[in-house]
Amino acid sequence: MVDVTPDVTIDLKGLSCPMPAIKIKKELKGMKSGQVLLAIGTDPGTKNDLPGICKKGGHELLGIDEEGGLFKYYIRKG
Amino acid sequence: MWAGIICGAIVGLKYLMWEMEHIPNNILSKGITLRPAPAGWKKAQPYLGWILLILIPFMPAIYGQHTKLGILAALGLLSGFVMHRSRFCFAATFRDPFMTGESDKTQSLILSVLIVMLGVSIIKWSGIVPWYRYVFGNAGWGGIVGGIIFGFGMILAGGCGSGTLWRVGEGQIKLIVVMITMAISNSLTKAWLWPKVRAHELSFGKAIFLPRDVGWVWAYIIILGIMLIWYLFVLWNEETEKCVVM
Repeated sequence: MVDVTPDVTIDLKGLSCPMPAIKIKKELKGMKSGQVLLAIGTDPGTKNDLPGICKKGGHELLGIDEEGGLFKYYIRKG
Repeated sequence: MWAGIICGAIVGLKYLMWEMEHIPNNILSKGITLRPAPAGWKKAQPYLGWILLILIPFMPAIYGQHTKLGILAALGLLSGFVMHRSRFCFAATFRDPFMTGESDKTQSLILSVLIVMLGVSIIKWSGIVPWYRYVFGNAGWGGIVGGIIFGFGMILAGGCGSGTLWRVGEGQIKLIVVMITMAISNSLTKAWLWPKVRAHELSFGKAIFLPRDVGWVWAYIIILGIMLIWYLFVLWNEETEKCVVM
């Protein structure tokens, strides 16, 4: 379990590739450096896209929680 | 067609960005609750996967007298396994440079084009397969317009042919719908348009096989040249992000 309080939470439930990546990138663009984004989704492919998005943008992937088909991604903006 | 696909992909990305702003993401799934798979299924999956992998070399024998189908089944299983584990996706190879600036998938596609170029050279130059096999008359307006339509569609669908198939194997419902739609539209196109093309009532362009039309040396120079330009472009774009639409 990731023990971090998010500053912004976005709902990606029902979205599949490439929408989750697009939404995460767009949200991170509007956040301040150091803030934590929590993205909740259902697409398992996003797990593979996120490391690349974080590396490219200089963000930190704090962790991924998975429960009951839902994936919770915690990302700190770089 | 390649140029058309790139244009279609850019338009598709811009549409997705508009959709993200104006249409809620749960508009079609309101009230639908997800049920997780039964607990036993997750435990059984790795064993079922191993059984399929072990069966691969026995496919020709399983298919009996239809040995060719067995070999194709074995190759299909192997390709699907590799594509799924590497999450290889043609849609992403055209999309990523304009969405996130990443070029690694595009580079792998460029490499695969070069490998196919070598393989096709061997089988067609040696005469194993005639030059006209898999050469379609779409070097013209048909290729460009078709590429734009396909590029736009694959971005919205979230997958091309191969990406759709392994995502269906993964259990993604949206791509099951895409696969069925692709099958129906392909079949309708073949049944309705192809007879008109064969009867010369309709033309999408010329059937060009570069080694036959310009010679093997120039064919290689043209293909390698285009791939090099594409490779340099995606590397430059990854560095500068000048063509990233987001």
